[in-house]
Amino acid sequence: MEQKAVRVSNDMWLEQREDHEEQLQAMVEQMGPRLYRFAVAMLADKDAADDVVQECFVRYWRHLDRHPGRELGPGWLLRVTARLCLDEGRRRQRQQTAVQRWQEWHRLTSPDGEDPADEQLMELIMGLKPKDRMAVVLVYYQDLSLAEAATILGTTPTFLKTKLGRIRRRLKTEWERKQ
Amino acid sequence: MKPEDIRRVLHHHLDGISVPDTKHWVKGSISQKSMAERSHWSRLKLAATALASLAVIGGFWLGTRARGPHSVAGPRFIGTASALNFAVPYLAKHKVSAIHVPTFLPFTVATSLKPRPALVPIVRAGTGTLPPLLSPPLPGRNRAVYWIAVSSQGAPLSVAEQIGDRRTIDQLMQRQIPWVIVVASRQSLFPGGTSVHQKLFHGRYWTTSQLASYLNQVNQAEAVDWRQGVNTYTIVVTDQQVSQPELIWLARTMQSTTLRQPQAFAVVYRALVEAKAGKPQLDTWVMSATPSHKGYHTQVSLSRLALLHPVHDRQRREVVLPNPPITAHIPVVLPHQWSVFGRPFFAGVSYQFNPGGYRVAWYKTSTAVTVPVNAPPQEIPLLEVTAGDLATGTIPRLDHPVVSLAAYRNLVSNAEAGAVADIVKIGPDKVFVTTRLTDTASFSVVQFSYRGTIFQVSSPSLWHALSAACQMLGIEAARL
Repeated sequence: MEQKAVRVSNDMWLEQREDHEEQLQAMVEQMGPRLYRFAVAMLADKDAADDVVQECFVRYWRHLDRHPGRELGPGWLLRVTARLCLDEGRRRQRQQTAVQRWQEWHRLTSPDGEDPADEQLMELIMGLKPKDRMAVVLVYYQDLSLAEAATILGTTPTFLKTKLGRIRRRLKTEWERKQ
Repeated sequence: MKPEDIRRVLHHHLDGISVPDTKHWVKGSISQKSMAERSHWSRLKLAATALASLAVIGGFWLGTRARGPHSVAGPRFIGTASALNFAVPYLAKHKVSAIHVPTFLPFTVATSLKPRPALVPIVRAGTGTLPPLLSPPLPGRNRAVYWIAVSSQGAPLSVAEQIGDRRTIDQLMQRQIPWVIVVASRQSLFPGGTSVHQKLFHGRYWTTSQLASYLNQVNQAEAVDWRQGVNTYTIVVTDQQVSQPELIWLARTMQSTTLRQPQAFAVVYRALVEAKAGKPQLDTWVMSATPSHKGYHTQVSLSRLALLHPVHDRQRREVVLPNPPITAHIPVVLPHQWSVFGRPFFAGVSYQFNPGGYRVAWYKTSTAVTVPVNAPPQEIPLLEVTAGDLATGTIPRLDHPVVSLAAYRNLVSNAEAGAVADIVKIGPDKVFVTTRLTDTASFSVVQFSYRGTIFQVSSPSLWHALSAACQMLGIEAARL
């Protein structure tokens, strides 16, 4: 009898595990590329971005078990990735800034004949402070609403709106100076 | 600046970035989480291990500080190695996020899924490097992944079944990485017969005798001295061309590295990989395994040591490596000065080239590279010089795959090879050669035997150590 109970419990565990694996698989397919590009924009390093996304999904997988009923959507994943990127960026900042990594990487991979003005603007974006860059990427690349992006950044939509305006002005000044 | 401009530029630059295969995120997440599933008691045990490790590390650090910079370096190595052997496996287990677990290997299955028993039999591959793979990679593919498993006790049947399991092989194939698995076992790892597996492995399924006959054909039979009646070796080569030096290296490694008990081991492999935009890169990885008390290797880690960018010579249509091919991976002991690089470390992924062309790897705790710090002292490159060699003045034969003759030649022919270490003690059984440690120097230890006597040489670099060894043996560097 006891053995049977154990077997039933094991079966349930296996079933739940399979469900979670499917959930993870679906989430990776849905969000993986998006998170990866976000991480690349933050870190300017493919390997580091790969690690960050991997770590994000590890945390997702753990949370599925710990909080079975809790809804963990794309917002949660973006939030975790954002934090991981900030941590990783802080660690790597000592060796090389993001804009230096971007320039190096871009030099190796980009085809010739790109618009230099575009390239300059991208470099200016990569040269922003990590949190400013994150705001720009979340709103202008990930197309999140101000409220969603503000939640991830831990601020208010109003403040974020003001901040974005300030960043745009700064980018414009810098860009014009370079032109 | 208009939002549309920012949006356009971001999409232009980021949309084109290729996303890696998402499968490894799934597999990696599952395996890492499974490793984190530990019972309460095992967590306590690990905490205790961590404290003990810290105590050992602290003790060692205090010890090195107390002895001062001019102490004798040779004998200290053993203690250092022991301390690291103790500490590093712990570190390796707990820095999983830094490790790219090779999900294409069956070993991941062993480490990730709890209900299954450990998959890897008692294996050892020796600490060594493959010969440099200079042929260009196949289009769109990386060059090769090597795994060498040698067992003197034979793999259990369950292991054989799991390695030969169709699903596992399918998973391997799905990765589309050309790979080589070399397995030696008393019994066939493929109990279902070879025909199925011959098909699976594209017909490239070799046994010992086949390999021996092949080596005979290419006049390389003397490179491998197969022991008769000890083991049945099975060599499986899949989906790629293996060059003759590679094959000889594999065979030699197999015949020379067998163990009767589990031991930590590592394989360093270097490969030319095709990077984005068709630029080849020289990739160096360390794959290591630590044994568990059950007699299986349960922890497999894979860490990148270095990624170099060779120059592509368009006129000659060949890839030129930025440095001469390095075929030796040298165990390096902890540097004397811990704060050389600004923070304490054991193991690391940074590296440097010394004038002789050797790569010396440093190790720091922040990255879970366990090799070869984790290697036992006997893994130190062994250089055997026979009396006949000395008498005739021929080049000493290097009887360990770790050190290659070419590398040795490079080493001692360097102009700076004249700088030698100090001989501080010569006894009937042992000879220690040490150097004064400078602020920036670490030291390595070379052990070699001559007429039955074990010699151990310590110096800031292997290059110095071997020079010292030459001097001790009365061999002029130029003769080598």
